Amino acid sequence: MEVLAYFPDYLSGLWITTTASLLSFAAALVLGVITAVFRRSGIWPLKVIGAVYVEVIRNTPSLVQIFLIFFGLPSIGIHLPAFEAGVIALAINGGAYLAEIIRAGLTKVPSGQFEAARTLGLGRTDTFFHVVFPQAARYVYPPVINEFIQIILATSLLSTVALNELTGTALVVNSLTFQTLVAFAVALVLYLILTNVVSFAAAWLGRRMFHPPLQLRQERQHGKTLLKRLTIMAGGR
Amino acid sequence: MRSTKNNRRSVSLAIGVGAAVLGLTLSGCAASGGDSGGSGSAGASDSVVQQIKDRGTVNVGVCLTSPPYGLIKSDGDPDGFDVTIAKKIADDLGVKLNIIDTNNASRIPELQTGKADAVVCTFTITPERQKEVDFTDPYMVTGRSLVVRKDSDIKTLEDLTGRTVASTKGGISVQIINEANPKAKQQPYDNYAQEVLALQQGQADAMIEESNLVAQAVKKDPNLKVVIDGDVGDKSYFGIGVKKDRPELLDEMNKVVHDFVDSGEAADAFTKYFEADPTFQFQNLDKK
Amino acid sequence: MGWAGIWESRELLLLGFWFTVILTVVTIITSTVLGFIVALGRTAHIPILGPILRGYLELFRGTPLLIQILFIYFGSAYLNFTGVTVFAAIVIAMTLYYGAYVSEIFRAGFESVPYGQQEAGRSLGLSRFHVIRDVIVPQTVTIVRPPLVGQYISLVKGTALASVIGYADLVRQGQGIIDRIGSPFAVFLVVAALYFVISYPMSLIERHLEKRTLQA
Repeated sequence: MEVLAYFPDYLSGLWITTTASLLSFAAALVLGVITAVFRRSGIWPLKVIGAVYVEVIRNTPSLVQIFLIFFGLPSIGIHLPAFEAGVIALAINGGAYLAEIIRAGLTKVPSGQFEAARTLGLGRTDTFFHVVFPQAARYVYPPVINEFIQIILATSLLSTVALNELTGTALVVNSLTFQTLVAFAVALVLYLILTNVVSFAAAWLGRRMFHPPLQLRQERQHGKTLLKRLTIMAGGR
Repeated sequence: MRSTKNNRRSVSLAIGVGAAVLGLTLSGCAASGGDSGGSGSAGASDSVVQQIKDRGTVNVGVCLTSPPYGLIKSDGDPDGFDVTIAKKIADDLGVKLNIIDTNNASRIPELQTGKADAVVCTFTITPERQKEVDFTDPYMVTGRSLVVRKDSDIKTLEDLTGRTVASTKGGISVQIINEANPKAKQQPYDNYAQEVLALQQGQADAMIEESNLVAQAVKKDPNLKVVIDGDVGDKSYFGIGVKKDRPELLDEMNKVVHDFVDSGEAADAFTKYFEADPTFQFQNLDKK
Repeated sequence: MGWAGIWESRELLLLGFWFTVILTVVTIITSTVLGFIVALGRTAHIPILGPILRGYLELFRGTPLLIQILFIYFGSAYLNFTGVTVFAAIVIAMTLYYGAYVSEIFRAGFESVPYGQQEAGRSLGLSRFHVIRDVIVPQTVTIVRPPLVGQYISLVKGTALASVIGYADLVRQGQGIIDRIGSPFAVFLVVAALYFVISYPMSLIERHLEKRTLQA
């Protein structure tokens, strides 16, 4: 098989996909937390900044965002290589979604908890990190993992700025071997393996990290909790 | 506990489905390969020209992201040197023209899958490609140029070591860059427009591309300069691509090419679109 | 910045805008129908169908839309389904991809209706079809609407990928304009703004529906 001769290229493509996904996700998580805190703060300029960021990003395509950062920013003197531009674009994009997920998670922590912690003499920061955050994390974990998988899938768009991640590799192998279907099918199977490894690892971690253990994949919730979970779980992008 | 088991089953199923797709793909390729040799030539293939006439439209793949070979005018209509040939194909067959906007990497799949009856898109005739599709006699001979931004210090092919060089996926520049300087970092874009945009915006240090495309780009953007003009790698001959085992259609396309060249239309179109006189004799191309 | 050039090319952008809108409307309809059917199939607990549908979901939600589009565009013809145009390939790929997500929304909606109601409906002599139509669906609709609109917003933005195989949508027209007048930054900003025009009203509807469902 001619295509299989390029298997090492696929693996290096898979490596770029994986590192780009991890870096984007980590940065998106930071951006998401900051934005969620902004939007919940009582300071209106921060609220406006948070709201505008989320709305603008969520209502424009990630492909155009990537083009703007890679092809557009040089017009105003900012040059970013494909990998860096891609990671930044995906982080900004994912950050907007994560902000909404985290914000929804924070609203689920009863305000009594916050007041109780303050009464016990904990500072604002301590209350947030030791009382509110651990509780919100449990609500937020499943949709955050979902978002991570969306980021992995979105890295395929970076092929359009000449980054040879997995999709880019498949396109190049296709143009070298003319074995179109096999070239794409190999990439499809590798993506499937990657996303499944991530969702299994996340499910395993969910069972270990939370008490009582979090059943990630077969969660059955009813009534309003289900509704809330659904509204968070915006799904595929 | 139960849920984990379910998950495992569905995942192995999904991967199974993935593998099945892969398997189907492989067998599909093998089958279609066999078909074209067997039933393909048994008579169906010879009626392709008739089929096109019955259909009333001919589907021609042209790269509309490669000015002046193919472009979209401000009123939305396609135009360019290759588009002129596409129009001639439709005229010759007496049918309507349907242009499929394609790119370098999709040219061969467009033909093999029958989405395009012919492809006219800076399509260099190479032995590797001739295993996949058939080509007409050439209608154009050209070379590759090295182009950089005005402020660049790149003067030779050796200077490309460690620098980023833009190319297109599926274009022969990929191999040419590899031969010219294997230590250059290649950036293969989806189409020529993105490739040149990357160079203009400083996202690539240099570009090695077909010399007429380069000449047009430099004319449009004074910040670009040609360092090596038409002399990188071997000469290229462009032909019209047709799906294999369609002799009647190939003959028809050859007729179009010879008519285009012999009538002087080729030279006229060259002057019109490249704003220069051709430096070669179109009539002598097939005696290369 | 090339604003004048963009204004001169407004007809191309408008054309791309309509191409994007048409693709969006068609795929919203097809993916909702597919998602609904798949969700029904999954809740019906039919022995062989269950694992097949799960496999479908895993496959289409576990791989990127871009590569699915490429695979279906070129793949269809290699597997001897000729005549799949660029538009059809994108509609098929997007329907399969978003249909998978939509089906999960419907399924969660169905499951939110207590099982006892199904049994009650059946014991009152309603047929399976009538139980679904008159008991389950009406209760599901309110719950399902906000996430469904959320998914449609994702779909609008997903249509941008159609440009990769040459569909003349907003992104592709934008690239054509850059090709002629340069100014990628300004052109892509305008393109993004035009997507915003389609998507933002949908976001407002989503939020409105969300509020109404929470109050109910």
